[in-house]
Amino acid sequence: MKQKLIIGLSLLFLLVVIFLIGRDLFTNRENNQGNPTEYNLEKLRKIDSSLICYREVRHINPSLGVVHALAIDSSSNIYIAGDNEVQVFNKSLQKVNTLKLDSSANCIAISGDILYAGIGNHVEVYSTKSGKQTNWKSYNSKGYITSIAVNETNVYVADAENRLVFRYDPDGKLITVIGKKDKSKGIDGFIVPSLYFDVALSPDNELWIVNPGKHELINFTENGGFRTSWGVASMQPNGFAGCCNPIHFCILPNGKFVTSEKGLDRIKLHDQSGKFECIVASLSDPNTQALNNCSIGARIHDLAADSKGIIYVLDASSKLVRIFEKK
Amino acid sequence: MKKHLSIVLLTLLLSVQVLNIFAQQRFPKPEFETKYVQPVMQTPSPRSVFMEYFDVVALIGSLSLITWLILKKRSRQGVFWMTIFSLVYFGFYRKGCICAVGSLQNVTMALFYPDYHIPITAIAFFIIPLVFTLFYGRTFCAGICPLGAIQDIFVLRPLPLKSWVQKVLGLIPFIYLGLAVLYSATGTDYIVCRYDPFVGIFRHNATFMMFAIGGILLLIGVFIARPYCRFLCPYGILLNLVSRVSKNHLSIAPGKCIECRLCENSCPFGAINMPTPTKNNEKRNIMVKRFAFYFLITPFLVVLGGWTGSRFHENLANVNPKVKLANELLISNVKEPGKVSLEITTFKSTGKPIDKLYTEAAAIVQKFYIGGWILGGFLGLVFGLTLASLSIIQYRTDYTTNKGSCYSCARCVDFCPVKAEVK
Repeated sequence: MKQKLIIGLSLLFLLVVIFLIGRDLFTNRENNQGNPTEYNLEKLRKIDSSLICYREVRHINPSLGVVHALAIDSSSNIYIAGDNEVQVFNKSLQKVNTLKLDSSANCIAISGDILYAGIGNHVEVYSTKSGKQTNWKSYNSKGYITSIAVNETNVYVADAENRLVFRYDPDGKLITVIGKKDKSKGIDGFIVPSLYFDVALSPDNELWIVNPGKHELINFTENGGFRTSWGVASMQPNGFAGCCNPIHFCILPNGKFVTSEKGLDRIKLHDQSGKFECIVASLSDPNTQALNNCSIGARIHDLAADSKGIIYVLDASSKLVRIFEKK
Repeated sequence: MKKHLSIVLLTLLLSVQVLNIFAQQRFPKPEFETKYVQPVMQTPSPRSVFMEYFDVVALIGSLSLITWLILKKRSRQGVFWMTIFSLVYFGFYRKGCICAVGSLQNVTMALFYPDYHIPITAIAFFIIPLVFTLFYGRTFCAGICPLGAIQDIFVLRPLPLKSWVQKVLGLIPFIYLGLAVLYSATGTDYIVCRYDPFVGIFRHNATFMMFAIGGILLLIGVFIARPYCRFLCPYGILLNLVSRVSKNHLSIAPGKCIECRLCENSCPFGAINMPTPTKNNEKRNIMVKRFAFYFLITPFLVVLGGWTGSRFHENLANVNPKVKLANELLISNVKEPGKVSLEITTFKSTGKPIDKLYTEAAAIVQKFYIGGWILGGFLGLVFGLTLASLSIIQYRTDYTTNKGSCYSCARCVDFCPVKAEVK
């Protein structure tokens, strides 16, 4: 009797399986859930306004057709690179100079009166007073310079194509190649899926480089030795979202980090150890709603901070430099 | 001992499944913290050409080894370990693709679509098990097929089924085979792969329904051994037919059967032919008349089946995505103009003319009309021949394996006291 019951139930389940397959194959059931695999970021774009700790106070309109890069010197002069030129604004946001470049710069850095411009696969050096000085020899022909960080003794150049950072002396002599995969030194190499690869120096001249594919910021010695890193992959504000973020960062005078991401287009403040503190700007912030119109690529093309900790955001969609101060 | 080992392995297998719940893919899918639903992939990532050829070599090697273990060593233990190997390699490592069962669709598509480039692996996985079966019986089913292997581990408390139940349920694979051929011949879908109940377990990736179906079949398999192999597998039909003429099939006794009856209940698949009691012998002329009747009505069943199949051709065709889309467009235009599905929205965004879609869909429906006739006729033929075969009683004096339905799993040989003659 028990055996018959088990067989009967088993056969019933078998028929249920066949019924389920047949029903799935032959019937058109309406999908009331819409597209279950649609990648909808709208919910993630909405950020709790209590997390926003900065506000936009001013902006600079450089009247450039395209904006590529941003830099700030020690006197808080603001350099904005567009096609074949760099416009200079003083701290009162008055335009004070225009530098002509041979080509469009992907990135710029300023040290004293010397401006370093990353153009294609090489660096070009300009004097803010007397124009072009020299071209540095490129590491190889396939390079693509995406970021430059400079102090009195070193110029660090990030190359997204070669996935390396080069340390030059101020005369353009290559001293160290940083980031080559070397398991014995614990260096895994950089994962750079898209052309966003940033480098910056802290106020203490510590070298920080983004490893976007691993969602990390890495601290190296000037000779390329690994020191420390921080960062976590997450769609939530405490981490970096998507395949490869952050795309840009800068370091405030107090050592805190400001990062920007593509995809979710949010700018965040992290403390000196990398712990998330607050949002500088996001799309849910009414003050930055104008950022909403860009749908292709990264909206934020560069970040910079001056000696007072004021944050400058190069907004590529509206071609403005937006200035944020702490609330 | 073996049962305990099976339970341990089963527990380990299930433990692995539980661990997968906690698995996270960090890169390149870091969205695991959100509620984003990753699309379920029907096919795993492609393998390198070298590994594809290596898989063919592995198939030939493992088939040769299991055939040797079954026919020469007569070792059930050997078959069991080959089952574990196949489950790990062809199942979990290769993620069950390409498998012999699904390859029949690739072969069908290659026959109907000359521009379809069939992978050499698909041809090999389709033909090699058939060739081995032709010579040595269904040694592929014994322990090489990963779908059979995963079920074989769950054969813990097999219960015998009535012969008529097996016969009736045994018609389902023919329907499945017919549908699989129809849908691949019309370029509609690979339904055997879509509804493969175990491949989701191998890949740790399936819809809830397929996980549920796989789980139910494994659960049923505890009592009704290998339910997918016996009552669903379309490739099993081909193997069954080929195995019937296999020359060196496994025999229960290595020598003369002594009719000790020890093997009588050893087969969990009901694939042992019992000796026919003489007292039940029927008169020959009655049997011949009955056979002739069923044989003669078979053509009528073929026509009836074909006609019935053709009546359902529109239902059959509605599985085709293009026909389904055309139908949805027609309905949305006529009944609910404001309501559009995701598929319609996607189609409209392509800018393709609707009339062109309707023309293409009509051509596909026409194919299904012919396909419906063939499918129905095929099923009518199967039904007729099954009736005819039931009318014949074969008289046997020994316990023998049913060459068609025997999976050559070698369970029965352990029960046989007859020892092989030492030459």
